Amino acid sequence: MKKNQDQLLYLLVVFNIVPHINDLPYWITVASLTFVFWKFISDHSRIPIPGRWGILSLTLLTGLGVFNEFGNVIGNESSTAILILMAGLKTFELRSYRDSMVLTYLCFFLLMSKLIASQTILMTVYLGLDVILILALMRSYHASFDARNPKKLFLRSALLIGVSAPIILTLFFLFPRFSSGFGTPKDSRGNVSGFSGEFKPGTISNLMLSEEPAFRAVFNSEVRLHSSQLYWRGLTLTESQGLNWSNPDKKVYISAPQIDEGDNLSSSKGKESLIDYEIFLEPHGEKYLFALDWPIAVERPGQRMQLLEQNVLKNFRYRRVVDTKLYYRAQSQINSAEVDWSSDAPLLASYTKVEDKSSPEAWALAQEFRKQNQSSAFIVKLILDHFAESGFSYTLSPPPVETIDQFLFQTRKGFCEHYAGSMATLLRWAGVPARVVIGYQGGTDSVLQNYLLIRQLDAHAWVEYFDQDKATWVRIDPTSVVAPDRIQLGSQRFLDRRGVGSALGQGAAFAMIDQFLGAAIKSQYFRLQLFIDQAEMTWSSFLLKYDFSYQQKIFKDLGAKSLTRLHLLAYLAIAVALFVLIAFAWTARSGVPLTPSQKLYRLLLRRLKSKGFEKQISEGPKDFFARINQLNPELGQSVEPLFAALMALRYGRPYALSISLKELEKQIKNS
Amino acid sequence: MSRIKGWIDRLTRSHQTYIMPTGHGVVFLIGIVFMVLVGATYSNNLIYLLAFFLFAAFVVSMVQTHHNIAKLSVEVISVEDAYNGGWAQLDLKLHHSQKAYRQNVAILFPDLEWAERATGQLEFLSPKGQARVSLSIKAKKRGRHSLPRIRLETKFPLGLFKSWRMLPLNGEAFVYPQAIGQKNLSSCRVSFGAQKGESAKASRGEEADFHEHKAYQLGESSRRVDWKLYARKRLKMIKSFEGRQEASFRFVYNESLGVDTEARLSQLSTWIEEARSKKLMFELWLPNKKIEMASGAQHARMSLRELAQFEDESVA
Repeated sequence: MKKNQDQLLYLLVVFNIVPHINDLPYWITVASLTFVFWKFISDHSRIPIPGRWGILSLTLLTGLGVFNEFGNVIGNESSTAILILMAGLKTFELRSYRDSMVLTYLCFFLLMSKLIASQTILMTVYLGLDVILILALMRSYHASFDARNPKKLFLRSALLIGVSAPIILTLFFLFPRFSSGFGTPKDSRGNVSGFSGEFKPGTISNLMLSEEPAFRAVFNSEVRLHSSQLYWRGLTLTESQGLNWSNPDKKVYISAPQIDEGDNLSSSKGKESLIDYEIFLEPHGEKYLFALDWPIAVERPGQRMQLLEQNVLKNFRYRRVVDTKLYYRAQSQINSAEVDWSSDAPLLASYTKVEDKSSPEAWALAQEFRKQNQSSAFIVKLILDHFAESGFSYTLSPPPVETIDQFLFQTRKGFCEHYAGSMATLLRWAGVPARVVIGYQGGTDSVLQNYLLIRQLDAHAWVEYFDQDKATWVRIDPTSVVAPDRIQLGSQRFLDRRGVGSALGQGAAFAMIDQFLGAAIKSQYFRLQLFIDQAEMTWSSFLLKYDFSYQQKIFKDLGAKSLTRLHLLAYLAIAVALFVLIAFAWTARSGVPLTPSQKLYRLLLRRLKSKGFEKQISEGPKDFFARINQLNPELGQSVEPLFAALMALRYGRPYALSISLKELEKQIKNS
Repeated sequence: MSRIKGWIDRLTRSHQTYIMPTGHGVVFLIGIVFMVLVGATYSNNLIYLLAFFLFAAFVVSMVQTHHNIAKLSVEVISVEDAYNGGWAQLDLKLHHSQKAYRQNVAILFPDLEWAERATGQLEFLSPKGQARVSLSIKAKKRGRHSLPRIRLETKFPLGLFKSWRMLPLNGEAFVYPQAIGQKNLSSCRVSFGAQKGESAKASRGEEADFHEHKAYQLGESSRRVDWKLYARKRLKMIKSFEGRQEASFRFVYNESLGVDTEARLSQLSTWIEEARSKKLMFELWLPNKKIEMASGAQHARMSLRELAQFEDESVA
């Protein structure tokens, strides 16, 4: 039977290592699985396992490997790697019950580190299975009969979970959520999708290949925004090197304002264009937060510590790297005129500088525009006209260019990044303060139409310029001129129309496959993706949003006045205690069911006891009755027919009975 | 001190079921608390859920552990006598009338003074069922002992809690003195035993007590023939005698048997065992009791039991 237990342990370890395969360098998970497999083989054959020195040297070797890989051993990923390797090595040393328990706890840690990173529906199911497996393992040590039959072992463990479901649910809903300020260790790689702080041709187009979700946005049902209004601001770039832009990020980040529910806004027009919404951000390995242009405030409800920051460029970011799904609420002002740009004013002069000497022709063009001495809006129109009329085209795989001159006067083929980068530079050369904004544009409606899905292929770059007359920043997207359907239809449908293969320029073969698959199949596949996304979103939005403020809201809806965490803990303690008491009482009933006549007999005895006549153990019913008769003839008389009836029932003459059981019961109760 | 002990005894005599978390249970709980902290740090509801799964299992297993022991009855089927230092078998019947099945109930004897600690295990008990558990007890003290309290203990199903009950057992166990001594019975001989058919006196060489003559048949031992008769009347007749007289022995308790009471009793015990195994007749003379001449297993048992209970009153 020890073999059975050991095999369960191996299964547990493997089950907990496998989900990490894609998160870490392969050698780590493969090494650990090899160790477990080795031990397993060794159990069934003569192959020996490493001795004490062997294990020690393996430990050192793998430890050094981890250090080499990550540069430390206490970071987020390196500690997971260490745990995985330790679990594998521990299988070589399973002699006592305590060893098995240590290994079990190692697996707990592995499970937790996976749960930190991912909270999908699949992970929830995985969590349930893992718990059943652990319970089965523990059971195998203390229920030796069950342990011989693995199926029973698992079934009974699952049953344990099933039976404890009410407690689990109560705990989940009543346990107060805390928000803590403990930091996460530094080296979270996270899923590096999305962009970093650099911007050059290729930055955005590289993302076009990915259908991975970037984030999801939930609007109030009354809000209806057209695709062309959905500009999601991520990062504002202020240093121009011509086509390339950068953000030295020396701008100071301060605590982001919280959403003001009271709406202390002067103009009613401002109120109309103020939009509240929720964002569910996928981990992307950086600190950026995305919000609708132009974001005013963001907050994470129920968080004591404000981890959200903003700078003067209306860039919002998270204090830590976003390595796990993040939920926040945001408020944006769509109408630029209502936005307060005063903090930007001192920097306006810097927004006209360009560090690029390589494009004299473009510079000259800009000077021509400038000479016309018109407003900035006019200059913008001139540039856009230039794009529209001079044979420019929009393509995902333009020929490579290094300077603006090459782009504007030779190739004239580019992607949003080319247009945005060159336009903003031209504006600067023409004396108009301008900058490039990168983020996302558009979004797809979900199946139930209750949220927008924004994916990596919605990534986009556009331009902002400062209008001196209106004294506000204005967004202008050159792509809307060169490829208007990109903005009108959104990236997905734009790509579908163009055919991704041809848009990517990957050659005839790809285009043929593309055609073969046919639009119908692709759209079905896309619908399936949306379906799954809807389910995942429903589940994870619940998981992400269920925090203390949510709990308070629930109780407020139920009518409770105020709710502290202590209240919740108290309710919880009471509920759990109640459950335990009920469980004890329920299962403590005698296992032998009573027949109705037996129940009635007992009832009669109880009534008589309350009147002071207790049947002794040594007395038979007849003697008891005789005694009653002796002591209290009146009572005896009224009781006699009942006794007779009960005796008749018990000793088998039911047909001699003149009254039914129910009548009997009534009479007994009334006597 | 004894008053406290008496009080504790009265408490534990009430057949209460007790339950406490085991060491592993405590570690498990600490682990759960740690998980809640991790969940709070990362504001991660799935980690909370994991902690809640485990806590619920913890709580429910407590109820299950308790019920694995509660309402379980024990009866003694039989208890063998044993020699001091030897093994006795104790047969117990465990039964219950619950619908649940039971597993992994350990049987312990915490109060066992007259033997080394004995343990047993009940692996499985079906709903409303009964099971027989045989335990081997190694006796270490002579005497007539009442069976001690039994302790039923379990950690089923998850090993997070330990639940136990104390139950009394009805019965007595006799522990005979250890049979270490000389096996030679010659010093106890009361009467000489003849070979089969011979009289005891004849084997000593004396004339047997004559009883009657029987006809001689071919094949009878020639020793039994009355040759004197043959000499007189040329008739071969067999002599048969009054009563078959076998060798009989008397075992008397006296100081010469050994250094102290136990040694003397051990010697007697050895002899009785010898006599029993050779099916000899013996009688046992103790200062306060005499056991009449007899033979057989029952007689031996009775004698040995007397030895087990023997207390030398002459010793101060």
